[in-house]
Amino acid sequence: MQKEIMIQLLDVAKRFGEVEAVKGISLDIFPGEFITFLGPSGCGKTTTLRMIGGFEDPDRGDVLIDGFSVKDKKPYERDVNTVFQSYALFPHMSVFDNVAFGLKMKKIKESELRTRVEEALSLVKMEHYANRLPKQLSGGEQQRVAVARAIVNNPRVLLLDEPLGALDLKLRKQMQVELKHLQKKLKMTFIYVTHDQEEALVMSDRVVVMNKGQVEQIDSPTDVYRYPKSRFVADFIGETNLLKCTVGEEKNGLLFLRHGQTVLQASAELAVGAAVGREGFLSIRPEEIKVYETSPASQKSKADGGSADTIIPASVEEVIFIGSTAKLITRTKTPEAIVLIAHSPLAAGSALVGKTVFLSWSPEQAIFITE
Amino acid sequence: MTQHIKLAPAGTPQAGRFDWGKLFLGLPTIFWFVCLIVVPLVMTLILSFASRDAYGRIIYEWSFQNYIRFMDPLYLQILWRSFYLGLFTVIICLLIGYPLAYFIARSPKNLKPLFLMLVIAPFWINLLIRAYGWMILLRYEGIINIFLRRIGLIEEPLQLMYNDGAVLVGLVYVFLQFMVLPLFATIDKMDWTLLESAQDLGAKPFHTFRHITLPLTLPGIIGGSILTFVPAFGSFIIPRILGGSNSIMIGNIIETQIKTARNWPFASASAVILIVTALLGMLIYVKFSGRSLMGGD
Repeated sequence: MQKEIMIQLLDVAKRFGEVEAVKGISLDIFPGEFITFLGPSGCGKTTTLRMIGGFEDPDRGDVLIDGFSVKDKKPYERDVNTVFQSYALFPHMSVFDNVAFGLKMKKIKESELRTRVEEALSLVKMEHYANRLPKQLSGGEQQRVAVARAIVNNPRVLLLDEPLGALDLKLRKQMQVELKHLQKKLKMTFIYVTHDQEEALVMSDRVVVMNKGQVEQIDSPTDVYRYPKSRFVADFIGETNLLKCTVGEEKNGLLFLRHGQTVLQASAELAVGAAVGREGFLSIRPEEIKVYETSPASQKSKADGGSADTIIPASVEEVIFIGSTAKLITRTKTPEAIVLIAHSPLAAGSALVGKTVFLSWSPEQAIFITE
Repeated sequence: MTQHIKLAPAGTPQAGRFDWGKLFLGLPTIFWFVCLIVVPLVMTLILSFASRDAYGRIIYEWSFQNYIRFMDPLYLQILWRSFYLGLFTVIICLLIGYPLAYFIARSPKNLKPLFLMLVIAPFWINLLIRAYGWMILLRYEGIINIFLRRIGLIEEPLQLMYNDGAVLVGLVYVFLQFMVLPLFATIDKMDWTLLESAQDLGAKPFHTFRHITLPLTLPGIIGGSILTFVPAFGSFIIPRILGGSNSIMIGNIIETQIKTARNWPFASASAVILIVTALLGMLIYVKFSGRSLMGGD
């Protein structure tokens, strides 16, 4: 069955003077989806959002909402609402009047307006603050009001421009979960912009990773994390070990990659753009690297024809405590002396410094990517 | 045990005890305030109840005769003219000044100082010279009349000077910057995302202006109106030069009474009336505008 498309970006581009903020993006967004534009500052994610909201006119391309071009529609003519990074609450109006503003503009009857505003406020647990002025609220409370003010209009799409950026870490994590719940409850399409990769992974159905005005990858959070399609994505999302290497040969579903004299294996199926002789990078997540104090080679059977885990001896240079686990910075005992980061249970701890360990990972966890 | 006695936090003045340190810090301000504002005002007020002899010497016998004399329709009419000329000056300055201030506030950052400079620039030229400048434009054989006759729009030159209109033109010209600057200050510091936010919520430009921009820039409107009204209401150079004897304002009465008629007590009484009227007008204005604009629909 063909999925209905709610918003369609057709090769939209935007330039600010010398800077090409968005270089032609095409994207389909489906109803009820939580989609996140993720990227470093200046990657064009906010500009793209603003083009959907109508605050910027694309230089090229088109934005379709429900199949109709909204190119000539002003923000007040689009059935889209925005939660701004600065909240942009009207300082001279009470919480109630802020939330009621959109409905008043639509000339909604007083009785219906009151119920809908109260409903929206209770959805964000702010019903007891209706008479307060924005300046009498904390950042988190203002944030909730901003969300209520947008969703009360029951828009086709809610745009959120780094809405949690100004909150402290704990509150931010709590709001992430609340926003996600709210989105599921309302079955509303959310388009979310953030530079925080963790936030994107926690909340989204799909993540659009952007860099320098272009889309690098569109996938589910798990796939973006586990199967990055470019070096940028692998590097930007989470922490990873990136090893420059050349494709040697492909055999039995495995890629044999040369990093100097060291030969590393990767799954051929998951590799992006692999061809013999091609240069690229091997990405291995630190948490996928198992750390052994004695060589695990003897325990592993090699019966399945070379599909064995890679095992490399390395010396531990530094152990960094990161909460639930410890991060080991190791240097391999191969001629290239590669620096690899691995995670290890706390128990091993700092006792490992200076010792030799065996790093091991399976080919499925080693992803070959090109630039 | 003794440590429990210290209850008042350091730095808070204890009840019933006067904080001499703070008074000391405020002394310079208090000194200048008393010298420049309180003393002259009190002197004017005292003088307004005195009278004078034939040579203009002040006789310190107290009565209300100066105020009673002012109740003459001749003077009341002049007070009324001053009031409405002041009022129209404010309205016209607001109508011209608001879009101008908005335009400057929305200009690129590097152009703002230039535009502000242009607004302030006329201030550097003496008021008298600027008033004479308008004379050259407006008089019977002035530039405007010559131009209108050249293009055949009129046969006979128009009487553009020596009427309320000429005075109003002069007042608006002179006091416009007092309106533009406070307006610019409030419009410029307004958060523009609030306007985007209003649009996002479905407000058309007019409604955005009415519900967001106007209430948020109200302090600038009130400030600018007061700064424009007070000097316009009490001005005397502009009506003297552009209005002549047809368009006398209360400032002209005070000036004439001091310089020509040598009647300082009557001039003082006129000044007190000017101040009180201006203050009352401002009070009513602030209350009225504050309520009508801030109180929603």
